[in-house]
Amino acid sequence: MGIEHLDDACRAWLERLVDGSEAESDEELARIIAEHIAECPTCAASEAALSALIDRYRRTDQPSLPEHLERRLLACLTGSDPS
Amino acid sequence: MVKPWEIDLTVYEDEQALLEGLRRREPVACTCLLKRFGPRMYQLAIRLMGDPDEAEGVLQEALIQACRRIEDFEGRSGLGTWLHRIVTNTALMRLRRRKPVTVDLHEQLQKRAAVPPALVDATTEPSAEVMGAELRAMIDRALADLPDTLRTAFVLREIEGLSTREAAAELGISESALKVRVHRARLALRAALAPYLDDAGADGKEAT
Repeated sequence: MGIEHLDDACRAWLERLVDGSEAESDEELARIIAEHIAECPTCAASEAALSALIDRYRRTDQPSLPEHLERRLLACLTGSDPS
Repeated sequence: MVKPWEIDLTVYEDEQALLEGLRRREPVACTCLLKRFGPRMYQLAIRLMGDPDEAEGVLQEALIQACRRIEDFEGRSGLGTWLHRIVTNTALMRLRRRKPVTVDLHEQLQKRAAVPPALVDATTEPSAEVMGAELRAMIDRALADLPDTLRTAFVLREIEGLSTREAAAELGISESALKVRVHRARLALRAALAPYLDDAGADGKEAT
């Protein structure tokens, strides 16, 4: 799956989406987009793959603080010497 | 003398004890707060700001604010949720002060299309860990490259898991506007991450 999946029809839809000329309100725009995704097999597949990727990104989260930042913040919060 | 970063983090048995320590302005409590929530809040700040350096400033400001305003914490949510809100608000305030940048989404998509998928070699099977790091870096970059309005909407709704109502309230926009921003962010991310989407939907799911 690649950039080619954003085919001509979807690109045209994107143009309408970006210039906002097709919808009178955000509510209508959200509906147009949702309908397009539901009806377009290309977009549906791409959306599902993106959801899977983001889900994996979330599940493999391992946040950490850089040491220099931790020391600086500790010094700031506790009034201690960071050296 | 024991440095703050060397203290025993089990000094507070639970969140309530930590909270009481914070209210008594105990330096050890501040240290525990940072150790316990700092990494997660830093990551949130990076994602919202799209820039690690700016995220450092956000985290510092948010933590100082949290410690000063600890009396305001009413305990209706967890301490982590309260901190999450402070970090988010601090980040959004900073983003609003940024000089607005006009981003041409079409141009962005075309630029992405011209970039070869250099980080993935389909002829080899790199370890799950390496693949995870590569993918993570690509996603971090793709998120950072989104316009602020789209990135904040996507991060709050799709990564942080806020409901549409909660994310819209944080951003001060309607739920419909939030949905539109998330859709637009997803479209840009589909283009930016296109070379990686197959792996994400298939065997890459179990990678750590």
